[in-house]
Amino acid sequence: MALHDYSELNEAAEMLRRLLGLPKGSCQGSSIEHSTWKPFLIEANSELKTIAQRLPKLPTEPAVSRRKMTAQPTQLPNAERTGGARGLTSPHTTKPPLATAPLVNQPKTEKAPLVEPLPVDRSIESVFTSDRLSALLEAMCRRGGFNGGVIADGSGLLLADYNCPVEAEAVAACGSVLGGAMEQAGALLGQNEASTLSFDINYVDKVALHRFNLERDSFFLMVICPQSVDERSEIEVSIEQIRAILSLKSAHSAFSPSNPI
Amino acid sequence: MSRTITVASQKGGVGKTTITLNLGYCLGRMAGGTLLIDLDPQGGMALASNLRNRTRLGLFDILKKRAKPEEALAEASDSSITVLGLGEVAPSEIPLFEEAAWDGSLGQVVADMSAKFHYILIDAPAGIGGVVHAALSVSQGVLLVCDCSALTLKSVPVFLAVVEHIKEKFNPALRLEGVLISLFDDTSPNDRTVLEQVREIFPPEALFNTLIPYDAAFEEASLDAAPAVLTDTSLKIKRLFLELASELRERELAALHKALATDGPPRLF
Repeated sequence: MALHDYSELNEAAEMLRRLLGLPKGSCQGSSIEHSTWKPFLIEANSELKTIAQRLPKLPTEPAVSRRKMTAQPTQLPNAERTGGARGLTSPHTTKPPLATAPLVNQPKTEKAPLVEPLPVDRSIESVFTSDRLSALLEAMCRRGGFNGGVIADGSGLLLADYNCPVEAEAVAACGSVLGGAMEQAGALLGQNEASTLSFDINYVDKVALHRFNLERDSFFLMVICPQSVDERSEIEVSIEQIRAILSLKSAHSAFSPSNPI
Repeated sequence: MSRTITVASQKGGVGKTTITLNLGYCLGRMAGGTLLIDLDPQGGMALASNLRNRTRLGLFDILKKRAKPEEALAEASDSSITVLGLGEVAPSEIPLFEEAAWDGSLGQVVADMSAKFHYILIDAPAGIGGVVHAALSVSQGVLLVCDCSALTLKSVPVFLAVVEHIKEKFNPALRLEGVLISLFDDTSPNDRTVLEQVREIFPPEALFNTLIPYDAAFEEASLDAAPAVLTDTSLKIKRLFLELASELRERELAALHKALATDGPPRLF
């Protein structure tokens, strides 16, 4: 079905512009004359449909470029860090500038795609586990308004980081130390399921440490965020995604663009 | 400072109640203290949140002076949301509810609640009657919900005209938060085509980036009388509503920045 009379939609568009204080006929949404409008319908056997079906399956550009980088490590003299003890970190990771995650989206200049994939979906397409985790951290920070975050394993080894204020390895080790203290404190209080520790690091920011288990291993997710933010719900969702990535089980079926919104 | 947002649509069955409940829960977890007010005589919110097991009192009882506001409020166990249902309404009393909307007493009850909560989400009934009018008159924002059916989209101008009228005559603080597409079925060529056309014609600023899909998880959640974001069935739904809540707050910040750019920073002393 395509709409064949656009007068109401055009009228609604004009009213929306008025209500939002936009100039008349500005930006992408422009009035469409009935006579010139060609409904966008993909015919059953057209090439367009074939292309449209294949598009989500194509690898994303960063994943391809990173494969090339891995094959020629000598061409990257300025790589900031090399693979970690578990080989999870990619050979080349560019650290983002130290700043609070932007809360306000930049206005889009290009036409929005039909169904926009979520940031985490794109991250799953990456080759390296640490890249996926880093992209997940970035998406989490942007959604939740966090400053940065770190994922570490139970022994304090860094798995991924995003926008850490100090050395990420030090923060990861700190997570392990605090995690051990939390475990002991929980045991003393008879609360062995204690999994969250939060403390203020200055007048405006706090650190929240969350312990979670995957099979028999412990992991830590540590975020730095403003004290006014309630980080719990965002972190609960993110931990599920981290589990999916770390366990390498059916992450694609759960999050891939072929299973969009 | 509290913000009251009405979730409305001229056409029924587009998912207003579901969106109010799940968005309210996410806002409650993010910002704390969210009140959900059910103004829909169908009482869907009370059923979907299991409120009727907590109290039979509601807004109608407050209006009739049969109950105090605090007696009619039902707070969730984790304090994320508080729900104010409609209460027990006899069929003969429904016209009185419409009268309360027109004489201002309904709006006054809603306004009186605003001091105690960060957000108040109003689940408005379908249409553009007196109850919707009253809700919009005491709100700072309106979130318009549309599905991808032709009838819904063709009713948008009439609803927007009402919003414009109320903003102009009764409530200059009223702001359109945006148009939220709901019940989107990605497998339906119809929905995809209509969405394409809507994105072509509507200004991009007006549409929420987040789409609420048609998902069986909503039905399963309603069987459990709980928000879908609390069930284990769909992580996708949880993420979507968290994103919607984040987007709503981003839009608030953007509007604040715009106001500051126009009026200059507010004076604290």
